[in-house]
Amino acid sequence: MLRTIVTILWKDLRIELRTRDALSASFVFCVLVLVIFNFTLDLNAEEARRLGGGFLWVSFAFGGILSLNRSFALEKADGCSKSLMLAPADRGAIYLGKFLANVIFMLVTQVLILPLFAIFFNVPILPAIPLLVLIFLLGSIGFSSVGTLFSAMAANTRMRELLLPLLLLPVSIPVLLAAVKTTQYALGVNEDASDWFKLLIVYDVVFVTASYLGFEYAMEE
Amino acid sequence: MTLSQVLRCDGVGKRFGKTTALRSVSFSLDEGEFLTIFGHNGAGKSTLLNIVATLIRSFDGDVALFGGSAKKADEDTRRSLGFMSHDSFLYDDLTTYENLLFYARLYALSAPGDTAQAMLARVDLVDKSDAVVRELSRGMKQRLSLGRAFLHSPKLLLLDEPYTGLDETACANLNAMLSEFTDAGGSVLMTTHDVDRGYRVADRVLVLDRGRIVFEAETSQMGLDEFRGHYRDILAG
Amino acid sequence: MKSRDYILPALVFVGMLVALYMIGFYAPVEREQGIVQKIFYFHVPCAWVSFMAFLVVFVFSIRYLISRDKRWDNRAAAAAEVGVLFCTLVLITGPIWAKPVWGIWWTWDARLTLTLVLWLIYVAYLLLRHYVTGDEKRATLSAILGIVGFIDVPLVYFAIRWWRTQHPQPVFGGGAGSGMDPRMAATLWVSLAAFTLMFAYFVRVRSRQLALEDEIEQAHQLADEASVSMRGDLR
Repeated sequence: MLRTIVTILWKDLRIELRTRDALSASFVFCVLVLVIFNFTLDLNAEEARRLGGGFLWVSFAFGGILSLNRSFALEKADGCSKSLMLAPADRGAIYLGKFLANVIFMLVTQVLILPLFAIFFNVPILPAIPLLVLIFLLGSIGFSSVGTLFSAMAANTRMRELLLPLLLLPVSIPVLLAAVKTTQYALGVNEDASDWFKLLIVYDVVFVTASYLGFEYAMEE
Repeated sequence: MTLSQVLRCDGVGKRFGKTTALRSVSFSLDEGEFLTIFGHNGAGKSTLLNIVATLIRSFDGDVALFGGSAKKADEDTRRSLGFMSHDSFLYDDLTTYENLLFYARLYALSAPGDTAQAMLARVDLVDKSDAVVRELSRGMKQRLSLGRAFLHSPKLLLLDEPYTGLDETACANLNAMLSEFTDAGGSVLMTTHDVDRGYRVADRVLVLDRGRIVFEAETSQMGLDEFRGHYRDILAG
Repeated sequence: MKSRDYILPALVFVGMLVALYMIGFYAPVEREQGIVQKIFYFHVPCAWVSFMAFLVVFVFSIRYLISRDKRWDNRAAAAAEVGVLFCTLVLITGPIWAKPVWGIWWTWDARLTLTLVLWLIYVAYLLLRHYVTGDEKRATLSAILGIVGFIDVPLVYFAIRWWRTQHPQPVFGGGAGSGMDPRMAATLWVSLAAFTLMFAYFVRVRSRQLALEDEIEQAHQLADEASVSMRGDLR
């Protein structure tokens, strides 16, 4: 079981290290979203600090969808998802391997975007960095948990790129909201975000479990 | 079910919403036997293979695989199955070695690195071990795909239209590995519409027409020309 | 149809008539909001029914995954369609109520926002069904979404509620026990009952329709097969 998780994770990381497709696409997309926000809203530094949590997570959500789509597009090519199902590997372990890879991709993008955000919007982030990274991790876990499941489902249909955001965005509203609120707290905007941290953790636990159990059904031919 | 029976299908049927792909298909396959199933496109060959491969779980009838029901197939059952089709099952952005290493690990083989290396040698791709699959020629990809199918030493090999798009050398390679495989006790179930090649390598043949078995023969008892005649009649009917 | 099949539609008909009478004549006109407030008796039952619909989709989705019986998929799909219908009605009656009373079309009130998110999730369910080919795959993938979507509901509820406590907005309809005139309460309960019955009836009709579609396909199938074997025999 653990070996399967590691094998799948290793494969996805190896491919990404070689091609850098998912990371570059989602990084560039996140930058674009932030830039467009800047143009359309024209905020001063104080407003940007207040609203920054929202900008960050909107860009992370759309960038994340790009890399999630890629995660299963490469399985569908050449029938690889079929070969995964044929293998004597626990399906839940396959899910966990892909899920962890997706979390890593999201987190790396977010960590790279953070300094750019601070620069573009003149928002001081230095003291908050450890907390922000923790929030990014928890949010990425939540988003990727359902995202990996839905990506597998969407890959099985004829409108995969369109269907993933339609399925994922409504269902991920709680985790996105919680991530935004906790990010705002880290940037000094909110007073108390303990409820939101709890929501993040609960969401993560619930949906990693649910997606782990549901993945087998999503991969059926 | 006799001890040497690797596969038995009993009254297997499968409907996909509007279409019936298979109707009451029954046959068996012994250890070391090579069975080829012919049929035109849409006759149900791929569906049958997918059922035997345990990819399709709900169907009418029964399939016994290595003594156990295919509907309850677990990891051990899948470990003994090999599959090949026109899909390569290869990751374009991994090297030849990494592809085999991945599958060796996925199948929990004992010395994955060595097994992968050995198979690379067997399919004559050692000099390409650091080349990503995207850069390979078609023939090389086919050899690698073949190596992948045999990597975990399956007991039953399922082949879905394996000759499609292969050139002469590649076909010869495939046949060579297949006869080595059956000599060592492996069983093969192949579907194809390539009559010449499919007939010559087989011990027995079946013909599927619109989801039903309409013809059976032993290749030792019937010549290729005679079979071709029968097959032509079936397709025309 | 058997004679007992008429019981449910009869109850719906009678129930609705009674409810409409009570809404129109029995329930008092609210002091502050006037007659517009009576939308409440449609708005709240629609919301109640749509939440119930999604619980039903959840249960039927689980039953499908366990049994792989297409009838459960039919029923889940029917419940989702009806649920989306009533959810849409909530989202329409909300603004119709809000505009004359509070002067705004929309408030991000917790309940209305929750309804909007549910609407999005279950419209996604219908879109998923539309884009998947293959009956079994469609049933399986829908079932997963039906289950995951429902599990999400409490999380969405808390998220939105905490989000809204920071920006108090006019709340629709107050609470059930917020000192309503007993006649209003009675009218509400009757309306709830009538709408629930209507929901059950719609789901029943729609799932039967889907089952009939399956039967027709199977009949076509058998006819095809019969003609094939006849041709074979004639040769």
